[in-house]
Amino acid sequence: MANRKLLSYSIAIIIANIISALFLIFFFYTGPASSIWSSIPLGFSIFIYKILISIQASRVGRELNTGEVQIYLAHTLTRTEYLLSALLVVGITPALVLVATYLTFLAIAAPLSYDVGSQLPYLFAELMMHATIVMALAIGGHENAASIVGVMLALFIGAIMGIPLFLLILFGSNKPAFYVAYAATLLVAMATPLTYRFTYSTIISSPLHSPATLPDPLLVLLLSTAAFIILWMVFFIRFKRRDL
Amino acid sequence: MSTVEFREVSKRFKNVEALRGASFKISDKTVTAFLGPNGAGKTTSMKLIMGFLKPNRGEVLVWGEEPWRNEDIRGRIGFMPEKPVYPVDIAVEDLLNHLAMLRRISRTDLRRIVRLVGLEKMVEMKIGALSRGYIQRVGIAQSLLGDPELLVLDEPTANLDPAARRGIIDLLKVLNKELGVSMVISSHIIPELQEVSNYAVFIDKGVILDYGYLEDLWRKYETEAAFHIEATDVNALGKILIEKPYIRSVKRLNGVLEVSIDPGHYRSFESLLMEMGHLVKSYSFKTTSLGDLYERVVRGRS
Repeated sequence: MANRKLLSYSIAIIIANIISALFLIFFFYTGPASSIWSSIPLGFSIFIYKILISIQASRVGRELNTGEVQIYLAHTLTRTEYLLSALLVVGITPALVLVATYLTFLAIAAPLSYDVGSQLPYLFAELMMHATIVMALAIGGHENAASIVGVMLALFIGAIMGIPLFLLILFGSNKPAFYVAYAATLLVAMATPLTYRFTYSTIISSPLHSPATLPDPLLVLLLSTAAFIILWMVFFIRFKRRDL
Repeated sequence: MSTVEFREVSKRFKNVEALRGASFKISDKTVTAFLGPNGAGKTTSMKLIMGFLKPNRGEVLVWGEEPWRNEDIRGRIGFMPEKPVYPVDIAVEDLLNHLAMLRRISRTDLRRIVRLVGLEKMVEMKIGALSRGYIQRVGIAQSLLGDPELLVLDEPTANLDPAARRGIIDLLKVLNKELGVSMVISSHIIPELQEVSNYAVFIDKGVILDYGYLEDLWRKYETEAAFHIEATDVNALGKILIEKPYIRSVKRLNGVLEVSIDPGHYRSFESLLMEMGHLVKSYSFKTTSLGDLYERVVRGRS
């Protein structure tokens, strides 16, 4: 069981590293800005990891639905230990592995680039928030929804974020509509802080829009981090009383 | 202290009330047959014992503690779920090793268990390639890891062919004899646990109908009992026995005496047979089946 999970991580790490290495070889030495060479392979890697996270969450959902969890709990695992192992498998491990992988490339390719290095906490929060959303579904016993919603979010979160952002820009001066659009943008951005950071950077570098109306990426990162910590605490409390 | 005690326990799943004010006790060192038809509330009770479910009302106590609150209790229980879901693509040995690791038990102990349940030749096979009977044996093997004080086996013979069912019942008898561990075994096939159990809990539609030592229940519901006796002189023994007031009938069947007695006189009759050792070669005790007892219990309730 553990071997199969390790195998999927190993595959994800290898694929992510190959993509990063290819971009490093082809783009880094030819001169584009470090944030550009890093953001494209990182985007691919994040997508792969999000799919992996969704599959792992779905497995947890299946263990809960089929009663496989009873076997592990019957062998002295406590509910807290079980959920902690799920948190490690679904969230913390993939997030740390990708951060570590990316950090390795940074150390070699752009050791002094603050711009690239500052992406790391956003990257960690991005994967942890994704893990939190899919685990919320998995713990609720929605095994299929965890994988489907997970894949959909991995594919379309950028497009989803575009809607409130567009409204925010559109209703910039209209106060009640602005607040609604701002809250919606903030909410979606919290689910994907790194993507939001890229989007934010793109928008503010454009002459068409004033950055003052957009949520600050640092605020998004802090709220996102607080949100996944609080949500996981809720998961732990609720799981203690959940029927299995 | 009882091993297991339910006090007015109710458990509801959405619109289904699985248990309705269930109260019963299971004494220490018993092999308990937990009997009732499908949907009676057996699996819910088993899961409540394991602490996988929290009762909506009432209290479930295992060795005086609530298992859903005190998770350490599970370390003293071996559990086999009704529908064991094991990963099908791994070998029996790998699964058992993995679970043994969780229990921190040695390979020597694991090998002893594998031998005990008759899985020695199957350890390298993938779980998906095993027959239902052997999958149940894997379930029983994993439940024995860590030398539990109580075994909770939920429908260990469900969906098995008669031969495999026989094999599991024989295995349970061996476990009881070799390990002397308390067991709670549920089944919807009412008569099949007769050979193994000495205690019973009868349940139907979420309501506990009755519970207790089988000997007491046979008496309480006045079920008939019969002894089959092999004698050195069948006629002489028959003449002596027929005069006893509590003996209902004495029949001669193929050189064996079948003696039917009033319930409540089992022990005195057995003493009598001991006294007449010069005439009695051997005897066996046959009660009516658990199924008949169950029917009487149901009739008694209605």
